[in-house]
Amino acid sequence: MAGSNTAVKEALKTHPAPSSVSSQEVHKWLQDFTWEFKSNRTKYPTKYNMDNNTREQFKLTAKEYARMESVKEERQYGTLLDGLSRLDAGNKIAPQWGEIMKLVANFLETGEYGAISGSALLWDSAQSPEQKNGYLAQVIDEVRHVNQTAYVNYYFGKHYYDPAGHTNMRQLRAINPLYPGVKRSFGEGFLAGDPVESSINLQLVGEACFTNPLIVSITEWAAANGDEITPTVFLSIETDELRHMANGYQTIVSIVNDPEAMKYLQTDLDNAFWTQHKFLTPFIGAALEYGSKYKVEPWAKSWNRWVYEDWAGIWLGRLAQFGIKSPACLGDAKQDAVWGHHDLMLLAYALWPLTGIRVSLPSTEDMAWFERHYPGWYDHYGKIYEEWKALGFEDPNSGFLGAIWMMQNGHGIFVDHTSSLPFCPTLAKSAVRPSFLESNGKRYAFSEPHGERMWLQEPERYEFVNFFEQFEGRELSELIKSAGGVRSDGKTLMAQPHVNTTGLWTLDDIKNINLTIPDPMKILNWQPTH
Amino acid sequence: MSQMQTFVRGFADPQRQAEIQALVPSEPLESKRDHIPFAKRGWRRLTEYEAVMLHAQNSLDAVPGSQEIGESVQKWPGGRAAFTIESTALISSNWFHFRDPARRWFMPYVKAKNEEGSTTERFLKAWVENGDYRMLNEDWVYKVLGPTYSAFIFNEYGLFNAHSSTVHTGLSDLIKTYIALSGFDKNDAAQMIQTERVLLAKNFAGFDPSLADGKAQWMTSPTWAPARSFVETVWGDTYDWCEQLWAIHCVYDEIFGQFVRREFFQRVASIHGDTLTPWIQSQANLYHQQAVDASKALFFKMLQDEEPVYSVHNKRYLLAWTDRWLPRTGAALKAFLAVYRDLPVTLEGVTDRAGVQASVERVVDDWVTRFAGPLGYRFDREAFITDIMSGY
Repeated sequence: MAGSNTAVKEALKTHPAPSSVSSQEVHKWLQDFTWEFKSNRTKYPTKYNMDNNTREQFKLTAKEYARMESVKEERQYGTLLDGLSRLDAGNKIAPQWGEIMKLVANFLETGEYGAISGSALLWDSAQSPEQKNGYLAQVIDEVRHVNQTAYVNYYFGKHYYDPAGHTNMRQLRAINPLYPGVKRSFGEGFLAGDPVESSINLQLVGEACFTNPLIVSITEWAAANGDEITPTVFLSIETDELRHMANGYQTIVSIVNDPEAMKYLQTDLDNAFWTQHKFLTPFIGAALEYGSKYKVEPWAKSWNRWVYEDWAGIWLGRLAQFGIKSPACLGDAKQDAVWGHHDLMLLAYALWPLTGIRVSLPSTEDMAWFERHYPGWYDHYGKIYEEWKALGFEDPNSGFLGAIWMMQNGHGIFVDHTSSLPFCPTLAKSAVRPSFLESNGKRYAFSEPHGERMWLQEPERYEFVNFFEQFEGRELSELIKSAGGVRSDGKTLMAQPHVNTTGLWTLDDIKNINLTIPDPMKILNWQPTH
Repeated sequence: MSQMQTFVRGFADPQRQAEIQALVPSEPLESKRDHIPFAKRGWRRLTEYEAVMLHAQNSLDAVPGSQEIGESVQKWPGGRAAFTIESTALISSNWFHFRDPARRWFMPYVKAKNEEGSTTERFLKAWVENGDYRMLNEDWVYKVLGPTYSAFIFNEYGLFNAHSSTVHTGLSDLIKTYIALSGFDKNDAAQMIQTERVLLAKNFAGFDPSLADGKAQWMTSPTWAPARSFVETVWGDTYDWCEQLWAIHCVYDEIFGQFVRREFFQRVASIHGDTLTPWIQSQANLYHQQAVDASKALFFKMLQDEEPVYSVHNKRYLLAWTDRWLPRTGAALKAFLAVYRDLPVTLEGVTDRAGVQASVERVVDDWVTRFAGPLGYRFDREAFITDIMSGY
């Protein structure tokens, strides 16, 4: 059969059918669709020189694109609405995983949304019609991906046994101290800046580097934990990502023949990698390992394969011919891949009422798994969790909150000004080398020198009010209530420090803690130890 | 031998699923399953269209209606934020109140476009195999569908490109969706003209499917000069994204675009035995209709009728923008009427002065009904039409 198909294709190539027009027969004229005119300039100019003759690899016309995508949509929504609904898939999921998906789906939605504008930026900047066409397809793909990731929350909200949080994470995330980190890398990192810099963030790093560990690893962990909903959607998303990676590659191809490009390219790549890594490495690791009952491959190992070997080695290796090297910060990133997610999760536990999800401390089996794969984990983190549990971490009558314990024990929580993520200098095992700098009468915290350098070079790009500054002086229960973090009974929190069905915390339990959000930069004068 | 860990699928493995079920509560922990309950519903119940996009935008609280508190955390070099209200002169009390009347999100959108593509494939096959092309007037094929029709590709392609910065800058998620889909439709419209021209090249010896003649017309012919000027200005020189959308969908494409597609290519094609061009252009007309509906929902429903504070301010800008873009639109149409001078076939009531004037009046009056009237825009209709007709 294959032979006869080939013969037919060859025959059609020689003698095109007079009664049909293939998309390739149309696409081959695309480069001629444009014209030169005086004001044909981008609204968002790039410092790079993009070649007007750059071609695009996938060569899709609008109708061909729609044909391909509609098939995928039919399969995906058919599986969700028919097969998985009849199989009651929403109630077959381990609770830890059903909870973490409240964040994962929504945070990924943020990234996909940022990518709509990021791709539009490139569509605007590129002059080659084929390139514009490829970026346009990505714009529409990203609309698809927002719809899909949103549909995960929507579907869980309808079928999962705890819809709270799946239904309103777009509101709850406003008070989540982790969310500004998503906005920084996944949101504005994709769309606010030089278009090529945005492309490097989105396509060359976000998609080519982190899509595999983000989307593929998550589907494996999801399936292990009883979730067939997420793989159905995420693997369908992944089928578009190859085109996006190709867009990123073509972006680089379109600029590298200009010798001037190398003045900026390596720095932009280094910054983009650090920007994306800074959030994605700890967040994905925490989601997989702490959001699961059943473990699969340790995150550090997956990261090493996908990021270190595959991307930094093979993918960037293809660009070595143009003089591009692996990011200088890769070594620190590798250390973060081992410990960054444990550091981040410690803070998520400490600040659990603001996360909008039910978290659970590692069980005895979890602790053994962590220690087995991350030697030294127990002495550093495990003992803290055991102490917290003994002090009543899960008990609504205990008045215990990890964040208060940390402050009382001299472990300040700060917000890294470049990544917008919280960090704790005294409890971090990742590549944290903090510094506290003053500028124009305001003090800023930095968890490491890579981000600090980005801020020093372009401070105006990181002018924002961080989580603690925003909410300083707000009482915790009042803040949760105002963000919609309460269930339909008007008192029980959506977030909980366990996944049990009893012993649920209420607003009153939080009020009894009597925590008013402080700004650590005002009350802690952190000094380096030596 | 290394120890191989076997992957266990939690959904399908009986033992693992039993363990999971032991953790699943007998009753849901929460009875309320309303999605995004905080959001205003555009219809009686929340639609899927809203569920999968509304409030996805992570924006700063300076964008009215945003769920966020604070601001964007990475800015452009120089300090400008990602989504900023200064990107347009229009003001909304809530940018998240926009709803596309067609409720288009990705799934129904590509499904519909795929159906249009599939139907077109079948139509083309039948059109050729039934020999419909034999009815075509050959001068129409070589002299009009050759250069003139391909010149129109540049019009559609230029308008498509004018959507890139508007997608980037549009101030809410459902607005961005409508702009992105409208831009995609314009790209499709340009490609579908070329699809038709490639088919013609297969069936008419010597028909050149290249865009060389069309580009020459677009770049040098007085017939297209004002249209090209309009497209270049709205694409390259207009920075206010609302003004771009208003100028494209609510003025230019409603008058000039509708005339070229419907009154000229669809109507005049038929007297040349051309049943193919009307088919192809009917899709572009559908896309225009959908863009018009969504644009009216934005500029009239949201920014005026339901805008509690800034409706007068917004109306003032729309009136001023119409003042700016309507004369250029009229000039484009006036110049385009030159195409009637060299038509291979003429027909009383269609291609003569009275027929063309009726066509011009139709598109102008449609525009008055859909835009000028609701906006309260006053202009001298007779003088406007007379001026356009002077190009005939």
